Amino acid sequence: MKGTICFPQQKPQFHRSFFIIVIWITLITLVHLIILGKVTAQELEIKSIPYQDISSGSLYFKNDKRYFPALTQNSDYQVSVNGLLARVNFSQTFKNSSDDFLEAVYVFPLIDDAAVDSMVMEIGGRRIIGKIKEKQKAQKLYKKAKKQGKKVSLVSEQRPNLFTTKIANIAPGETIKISLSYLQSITLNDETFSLRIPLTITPRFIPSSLGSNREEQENPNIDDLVKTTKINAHGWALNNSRVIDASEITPFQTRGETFNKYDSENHQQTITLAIDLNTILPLTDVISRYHPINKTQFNGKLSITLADNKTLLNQDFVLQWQLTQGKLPKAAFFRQLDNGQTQSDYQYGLLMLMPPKRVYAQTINKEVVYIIDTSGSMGGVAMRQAKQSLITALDFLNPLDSFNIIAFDDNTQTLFRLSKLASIDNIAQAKHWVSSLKAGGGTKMYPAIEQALQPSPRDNTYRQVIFITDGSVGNEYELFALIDKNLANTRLHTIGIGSAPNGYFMSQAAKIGRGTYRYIGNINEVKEQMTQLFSQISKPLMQNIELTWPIAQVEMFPEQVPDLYSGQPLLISARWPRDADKNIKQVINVSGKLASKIWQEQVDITKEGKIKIKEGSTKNIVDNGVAQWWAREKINHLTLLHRRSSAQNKTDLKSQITQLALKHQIVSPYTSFIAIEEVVSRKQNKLLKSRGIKNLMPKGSTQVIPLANTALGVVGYFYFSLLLIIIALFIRLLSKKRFKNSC
Amino acid sequence: MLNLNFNLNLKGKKVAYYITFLLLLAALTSLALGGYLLIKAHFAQYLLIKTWQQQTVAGELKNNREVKPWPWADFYPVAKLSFERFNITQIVLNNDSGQALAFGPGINQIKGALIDRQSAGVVVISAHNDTHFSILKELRLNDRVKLTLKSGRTQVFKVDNIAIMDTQTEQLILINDDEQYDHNNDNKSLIKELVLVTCYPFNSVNDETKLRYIVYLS
Repeated sequence: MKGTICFPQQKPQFHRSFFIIVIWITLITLVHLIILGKVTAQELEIKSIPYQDISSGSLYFKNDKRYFPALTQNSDYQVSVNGLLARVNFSQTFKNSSDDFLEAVYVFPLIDDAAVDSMVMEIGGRRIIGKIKEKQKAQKLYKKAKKQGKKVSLVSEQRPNLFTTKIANIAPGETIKISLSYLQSITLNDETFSLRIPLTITPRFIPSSLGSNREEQENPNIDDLVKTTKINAHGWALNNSRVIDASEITPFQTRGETFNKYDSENHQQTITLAIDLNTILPLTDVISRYHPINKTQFNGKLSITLADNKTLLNQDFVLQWQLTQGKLPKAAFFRQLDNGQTQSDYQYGLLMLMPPKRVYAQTINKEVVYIIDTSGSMGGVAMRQAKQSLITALDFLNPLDSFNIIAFDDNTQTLFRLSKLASIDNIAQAKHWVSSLKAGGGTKMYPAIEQALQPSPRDNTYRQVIFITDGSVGNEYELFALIDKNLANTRLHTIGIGSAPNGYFMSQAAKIGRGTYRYIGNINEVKEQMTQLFSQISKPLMQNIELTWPIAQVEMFPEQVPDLYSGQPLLISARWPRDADKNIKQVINVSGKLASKIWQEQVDITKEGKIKIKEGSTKNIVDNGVAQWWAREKINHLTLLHRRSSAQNKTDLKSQITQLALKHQIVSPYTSFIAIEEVVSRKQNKLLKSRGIKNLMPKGSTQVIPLANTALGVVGYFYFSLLLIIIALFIRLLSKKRFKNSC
Repeated sequence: MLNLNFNLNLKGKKVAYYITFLLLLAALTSLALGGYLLIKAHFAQYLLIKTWQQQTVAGELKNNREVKPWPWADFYPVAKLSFERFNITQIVLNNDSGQALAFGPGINQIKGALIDRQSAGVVVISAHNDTHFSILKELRLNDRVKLTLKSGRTQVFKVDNIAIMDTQTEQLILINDDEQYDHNNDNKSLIKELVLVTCYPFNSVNDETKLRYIVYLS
């Protein structure tokens, strides 16, 4: 450094020491990162089990050396569609190819409103009819039989749309077939019928099909919230989060990477599927959304089978069809077929009614109150998306609608003192206000809801409250009571945002609020979901629906008829005493209010719809499922009450549900099917070696536990700073070189 | 290039200094930000331990009052988690929102509600993989983890499964869960399974990974 003319002496020295420090920091960070990297590598080695390869929901057995798929499994669906109900005979065949006696646990998805009413276990040629038992009792019996070495299988409901089959003592090389029979509803929306069968048992694929079914799933007639709902109150609603193009979003490469090599070799989970469409009316546009199908017309019914008989269970099957233009019946009434064998004290009926569409389809003036949760937990992406969707929602308002926005955390603030018309100015003001909201503070919902439900000064408005939150609250019951008490003519819709909203609260609040509940699982879908919701509720709604039955003592479900969105049918299940049947007046009066007009309809129930009986049904009793459907609806209703009631009533309701489920032979939260072979097949000295893998299910069926985002990317910061330091060093070196050159 | 530099020598040097300085400043900020997250996570635990002790005492006196670690906190401690082999103790919070996780591991909200009612068959606890649950990658089969609940009940769990899950295509299914309705059972308040969850891969730059590292203990 001779050229001191160019530079004062001190500065380079300072820089040198500074450099040394920087280099040290860099080195230390590098070493640190290298060490971290090594640990990761070690950790990867300990995984002798290919967990990431395991196809969830499938059955894996474990032996001493490794996990291996000990069976080939085949699912067979025989579906018979009758009107708005479908009877599905679903059989699962398991083969144990190991040398040990095994117990297997198989978790599988079913449609959320499935009423499972029969179970048969077949071993070789022997058929053992499953008996419905109280869940705990069944579990005890299962454990006992398992210990004794008897073949036993147990089917129980984990969640309304998630069931488990447990089979104990499967002998080496043996094949066991479990046949279930269940009813499910066909969703009808905008004249399109659709049947969905969840097949997502091999998960490596997002069943985008769920997305397309989203609106049908919103059918408020179907209350599938059963007791286990702490985890899964939102069973079906979660499916809402799917998008139609989900399969495109899902990187196909991921699948290639983690594809189970055992799967590709010998683990063939395949399905066969056959659907009979028994409608007298001509059908058009019968399409399968995701699978190639073959259609055959035979004897007035349309039979559908999968074109590829080795279809993998990796995507939900969705079949949609329409009736030839204008043929959609306005109403249909189905009665439990009386065949003399079932001498019950009651008669059962199922009423389907299509309210008039687009006749009064002018827009109605409504008042919309948005509640937005701005508590701390909404911070980040959730808040941004909530705001964005709220802003989108404001664009849906008609100029004659009025609106207001309530934002709450610890405090409640409102945009306007009273709701204002959705004029351009007011909307602009609202948008500005919304965009200035910041997340922070606690989650005090009570005052916000109270305020939103305050009676409006304008009396005859069609009032909607849209509640956007992710917040989990502890005072659910208090809030339910509040909604219940103050609801009046308002409708409350809840929208869950974030990774783990309190689904129980949200769906329940929407139910009490007679609105809809949407769960937005993936935060990126908020906008699309909101758009759909608002476009749905911006149309007039059939309200105040009332039914007058010609028969006394009718017990109908849903008890409180929900509002119908345009294109939705009314589906009512009813039961009445047999002796009341004689003096039947044969006409049901239905009335409702659409926009400002009164709608009235008379349904002549003498001309009842015929439901054909599916032959070869595993049930001995010939039935069309109307009674079972009624029971399922009643169980749903009771479970709802159960959740709301006090501890004393709870036990009472629980026993009511159990009694009902036992009587109608359906699986419920408290009843399970159990089949025991009385022969002891495993000697006591032989070990029962097995277990099922108890994790990893396809995402499509239900998101049981939404997991939190658990990475901060702290290392990212370090890498970034490291990179900057290196660049800085580089520049410094360059300029130094130049400096030397110049002097 | 060199020729040009030669002419702009003095100016270029200044610019180079300026850029170097800015880069170093940015680097330090980034370091500090990263460090802040770690420090926050680390020291919050001390406060939480204090709160935990208060709560344990208060719990006996005031019957389950929730003691918040600081007045504006959106969460409160519900359990204590000890990794025996590492001699590390962490306080578990009542929810796993992003806010809470910055300070300590959180109980999954849906399951978390059950723990208060003492009827949870399974407990799911999540934490960040670069702070509290970086420990998970050290856990081996049969390692012991102790969980102490507010009620003072302590259970020891042993690692029996370690898995990696893709949240895009899979989800956590808890089989032991159905046992929670076994009301006649005297053991109903016993937790049958403990599941610890964190993001995977560890030390990743990406903070929005779809993979989860899951440790099952029973």
